[in-house]
Amino acid sequence: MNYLFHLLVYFEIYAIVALSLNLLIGYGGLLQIAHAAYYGVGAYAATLLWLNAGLGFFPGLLAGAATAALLSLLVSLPAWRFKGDYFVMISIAVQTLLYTVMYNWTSVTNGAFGISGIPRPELFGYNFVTTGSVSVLFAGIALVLAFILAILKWSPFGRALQAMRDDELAARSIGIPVEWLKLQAFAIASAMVGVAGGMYASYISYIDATSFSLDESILMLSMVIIGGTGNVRGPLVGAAVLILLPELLRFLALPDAVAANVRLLAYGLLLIIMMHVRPQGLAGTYRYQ
Amino acid sequence: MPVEAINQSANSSAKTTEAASCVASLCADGVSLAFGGQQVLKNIDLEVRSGQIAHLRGGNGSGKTTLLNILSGFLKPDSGQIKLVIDNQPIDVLSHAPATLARLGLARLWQDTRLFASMTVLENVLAASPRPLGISPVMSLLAYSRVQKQEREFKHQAMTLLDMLGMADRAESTGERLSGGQAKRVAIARMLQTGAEILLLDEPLAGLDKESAVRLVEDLNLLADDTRKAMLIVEHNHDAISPVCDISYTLENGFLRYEEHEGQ
Repeated sequence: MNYLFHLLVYFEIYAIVALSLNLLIGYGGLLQIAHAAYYGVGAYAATLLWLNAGLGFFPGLLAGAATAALLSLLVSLPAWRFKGDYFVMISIAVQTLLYTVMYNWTSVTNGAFGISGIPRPELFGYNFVTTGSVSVLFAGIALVLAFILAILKWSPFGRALQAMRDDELAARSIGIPVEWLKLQAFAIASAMVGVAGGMYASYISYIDATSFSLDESILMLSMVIIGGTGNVRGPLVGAAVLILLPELLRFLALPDAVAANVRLLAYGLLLIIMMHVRPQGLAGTYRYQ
Repeated sequence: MPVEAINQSANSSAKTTEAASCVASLCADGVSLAFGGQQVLKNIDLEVRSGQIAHLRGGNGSGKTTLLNILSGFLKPDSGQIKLVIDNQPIDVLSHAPATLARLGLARLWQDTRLFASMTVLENVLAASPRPLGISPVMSLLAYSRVQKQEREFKHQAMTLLDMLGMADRAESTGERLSGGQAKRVAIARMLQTGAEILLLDEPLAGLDKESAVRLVEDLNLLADDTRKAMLIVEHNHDAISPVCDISYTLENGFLRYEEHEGQ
């Protein structure tokens, strides 16, 4: 049972990750490759505030979200003029840069040794020690964030994002401020993935930079592309599939040395198959181009 | 929305002064542009005012769309000035982004319609609604009921426009499933939804059959008369558009020739 709760907790964390990435890719057509970096920024910021400033669980999560959002604004400002391939290249550069900082800024992040002893969530004196109780708390957070994203999808903001995705020039010509829109979308998505990063740190009780590498960003991207973009359902399906896939691969009893590579191979194969057979993903409505 | 007033010099032309007394006008003064060593536009002067329909004509490659791109802020000329006057408030077109100009009251119709393919006809039109509350996600969450109320009003307005253009029954179709003529009508509705006072239309009749073209021209004429909107129309179908035009501009070898239509 504990194992199922563990999978559920992972699903709740990655559901937030995939939904927030879907805001950029699915609604805004912005291919973000640096999502894991902001996930890491949220995780580190919340952890440092929990451990060093004695902040509570939710204030720490919010501070992590705010840090990730602010950083994304700083990065987006010079990058907002770039589109298509150039935007993707900048995104990869941001991912690499932030990962390098997290890995090498040892006085703050403890570098390769990581930070351990991160406390489990605590709310009104109640300690969420068991995996089952954490899954209930995280389900609540994921539902609130999914609800906010659903409201945004059907709001003028969501419609403007979709207009920008379909035709940026036409969007400009009807008065949609696309640069401002991109900044807002990046800030919201980064804040949400920052929350997920804090949740991850609190659940695992240990973080190091390797959890926030380019590989992790590609996993997040795969969730959105395989599950499908343009609606709330697609990313949730993608998160579920890619959390369950490694668990299914366990039954193959592969040696540890090759298991990780086989997993990456499986992600790659799935991505290629999906792009050819079902470009809109398993449950998506928008065909990313 | 900040409206940046331009400084009107003491020796500004009589044309500009006259324009400033109108409700809305668009005035280009000495606009020139060269592409790859070739002078495409040479010292262009142009003006269109409230209630006027101006026809911009010229052969293929004469620079008509380029001129529309400059007038709508998508392209900067090498020299010259462009002044937009909305509610007697002068605005320097060249110092504003196209999206800002659209919100101030200068909208354009694209030659290839550029509908948002994944959205329905109604959503396409709604996307162009002028929003006093903005499109901020924070506003959408914190002032949810106000935003929804505004949304209902915009929906009503969008349906009225689609009805006027004979597209109300296709409101829930996606842009991908429309014929060329239908897409053009939706694009016009979308442009009108912005509430802009100055409309720049790039070949609105292209792809329309004769009957549809006549009907659309009548609609545009009514719009200019009833709402006093100013229109600059690039159109190759001279026979259809000429009867309703107040003035014609002909672009040839980079120069613009002006002709006023009698009896308009």
